This record gives sequence, structure tokens and C-alpha cells, in this order.
Amino acid sequence: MKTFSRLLLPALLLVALTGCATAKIPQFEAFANAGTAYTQAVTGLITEVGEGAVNANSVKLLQNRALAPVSLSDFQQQDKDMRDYLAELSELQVQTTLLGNYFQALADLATSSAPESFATEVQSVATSLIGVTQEVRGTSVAQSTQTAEAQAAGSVGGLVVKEIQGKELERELNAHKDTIAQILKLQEDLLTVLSSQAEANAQFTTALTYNQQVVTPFMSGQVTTATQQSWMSERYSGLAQPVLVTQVNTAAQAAVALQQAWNKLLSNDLTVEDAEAITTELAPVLASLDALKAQKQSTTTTSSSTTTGTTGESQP
Amino acid sequence: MSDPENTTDPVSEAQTDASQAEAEAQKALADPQANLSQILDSLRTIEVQLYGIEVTQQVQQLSDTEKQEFASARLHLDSVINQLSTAQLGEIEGKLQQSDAALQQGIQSLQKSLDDLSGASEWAGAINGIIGVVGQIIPLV
Repeated sequence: MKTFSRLLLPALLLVALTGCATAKIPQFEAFANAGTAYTQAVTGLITEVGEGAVNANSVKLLQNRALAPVSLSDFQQQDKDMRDYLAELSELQVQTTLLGNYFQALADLATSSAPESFATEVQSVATSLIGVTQEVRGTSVAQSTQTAEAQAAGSVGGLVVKEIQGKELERELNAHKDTIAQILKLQEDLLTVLSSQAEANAQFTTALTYNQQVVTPFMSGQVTTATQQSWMSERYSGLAQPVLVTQVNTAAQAAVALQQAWNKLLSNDLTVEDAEAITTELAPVLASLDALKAQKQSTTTTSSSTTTGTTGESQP
Repeated sequence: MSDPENTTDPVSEAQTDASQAEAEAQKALADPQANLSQILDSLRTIEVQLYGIEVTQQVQQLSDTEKQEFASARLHLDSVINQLSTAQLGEIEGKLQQSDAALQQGIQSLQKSLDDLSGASEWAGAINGIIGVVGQIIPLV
């Protein structure tokens, strides 16, 4: 019991002296998870914005073709513009993925099981050492005392490694605090730009459907009691903010929240709940992007032989 | 945009506005200090009007050559908007790229810390193995 107390006392002292960095590990983990969710959402949204831009450009091309023949050089110029635009978006996806890799590395370090593994190994070492010492001295110690001493040694070892883990995270936080703050600000700027571009593009892509489903039936008096409800729904969805714009705006809010969380992490004010709120906010965006991806995959496989006719119509 | 009440010919009016806006946009493309968002907002407003029902109905009444010229001018404006949109993203991407090296270094540093931590438990395991062997030797000595 005396030996156990001798080991327990330094262990408690160690916890008291070095517990600060260790206590912050859950905040690092929650922040890294929020950051990972954010970069996943933004990467998916960039793809959607690109698709929206090309679709809007196609609508414009068709509207011009409906008016007059379009020269090949004009058509090729539009293609070039779209290729350049998509290439730029692709570069931004690379940058966002790199930020995602950083958050993942942060999460990997914060969730490392090394302290637990180390504690187990140290406990095992201590048990072996006690056994060897007894062999050398030719003495024997009660089995329960041996176990308690070994466990105490394992706990101390685990705490030490946990503390090193916390210190490493803290060191990384200080080493790149300005870089990450700067990148998160640029991400906010990026989403502001993407939001305005997505909104402008949606005006053209939804206009075609809006004309066909809402304006034309209304002007020609084709909306009957039977079709009234669906006409009203079509009109509402045509006038409401496009889903993509709402999603990009949610991601923009998350970018702001991440900046605030980063600053709080620096000043040791971040709570796990703060960071988890960002992940929760992004969850519907990620779910919707996943659903869209699955929907597109199934459409590609089932409708590869289907061709659709298009008409060029004007904005409402 | 011009005063709609005094507009007699929305097509030529829109084309004039578009030409002015396009000239502004070309200047903006060459000027790194230009506020691209502001210019793009104005250009998009004109673009929406050029594709609007009112202008399109007026253009339908023009000769085929004029219609073709109008369509070509409208596509040219689209092209300027596309290029400005790409430039707008390129500006942010350029700034993000400046942090690439620091971010890569951060990732490597975190991975090294993780390897070191994992190495610590492996190290303890190795010692444990040695002690185990020593423990087997001692009774024989």
C-alpha cells in the first residue's frame, strides 16, 4: 500500500501540474471535426456551383440560338469561358481539400489512442519489472500490491503521453494560428463570391422552367381548379431562394463560425458544444449533397439512352 | 441603366448600356484594385434585362442580321461576365495558394507528432519484451 501511495502521489501531482494541455484535447477534436465537415461541404458545393454555371450558360446559348444562328466562334468562346471557370473551381477544390487534410491531421492527433496504448504497455513493463526485481532480490510481494503498482505506473505513463499529445496540439495551434485564421477568412470570401455566382446562375436555369410551368399556363388561362395546387407549388419553388444558394450561405455562416471557434481555441474559450454546433449546422448540407450525388449516379446509369429536347425561352 | 420612362427603343438602349458596362469591365480586368463584385453586379443586372421578355420581344421584330448581331453582342457580354467571374475566383485562389507551404508544413508536423506518440507506445512495448527475456534468464543464472 505504501509503494502504491508513493506512485499515486507523483501521478496526482503530474495531473495537477500538466493537466491544462490535456484538458483542451476534446476541444481540438471537436474543432477538427467541424473543420473536416466544413471542407467536405464546400468541396461538394463547389462542384454544384460549377454545374449550375454551365447549365445557366447552356440556357443562354439556347436562348440566343432561338433568336438567331450562333457563330461557331461565339460558341467556342463560351466553351472556353466555361472550361476556364471550371478549372478555377477545381483549383479551389484542391485548396479546400488541403485545408481538409490539415483538419484531418489535427483530428488524428487529437483522437490518437497512443496514450492508452502507452499506459497498457507501461503497466505491462511495470509488472515485468516487479517480477524481475523479485527474482533478483529473492523476495516476494503480494499479488494485489504488484497489480496496484503496475496500474499506477501505467496511469502515470498514459498521463505523460496524453500531456505530450496536448502540448503537441497546442504547439501546432500557435505555430499556424495566423495561417489558419487567414485561410478561414479567405474561405468566407470565397463563399460570398460563390453565393452571388450561384444566385445569378439560378436566375437563368430556373427561368426556363418558370416560364414553361408558371408564366405560360397562367397567361393562356390554362390553370384550372385541378392544376391550381401544383401550379402554386411550381410558382413558389420558382420564386423561393434556390436550394444551392441556401446551402452556400449556410457554408458561409459555418466559415464565420469556424473563424470564431479558432480564435476561441487560441484564447482557450472554446467549448466542445460551440464546435459541435458548426458540425450540426453543416449536417443537412452534407446529407443533401450526398443524396444529390446518389441521385446523379442513378440518373447517369438509368438514363444514358434518353435524350431531351430543349427550347430557348426568355427570362420572365 | 437609363430611365425606363424615356426609353423608346429598349434594344438599342440595352445595347448601349451593355457596351458601356463592357468597357468598364475590360478596364476592371486590367486593374487589380478594381472591385470586381460591384462591376459584376451591374453587368448581371444588364444581362438579365437583355434576356428579359421585353427586350427579346422587341428584338424578334428586327431583321435577321440585326437579330444575329444582337445575339452575338449578348453572348459577348456573357463572355465578359464569365471571365470576370473566373477572375474573381482566381483572386481568392491566388491568396489561398500563398498559404499552401505553411499548411503542408502544418500537416507534416502533425503527422510527425502522431508518429512520435505512436512510437512511444511501441518503444514501451519493446522494453517490455526485453524485460520479459531478462525475467526468463534470471532464474537460470
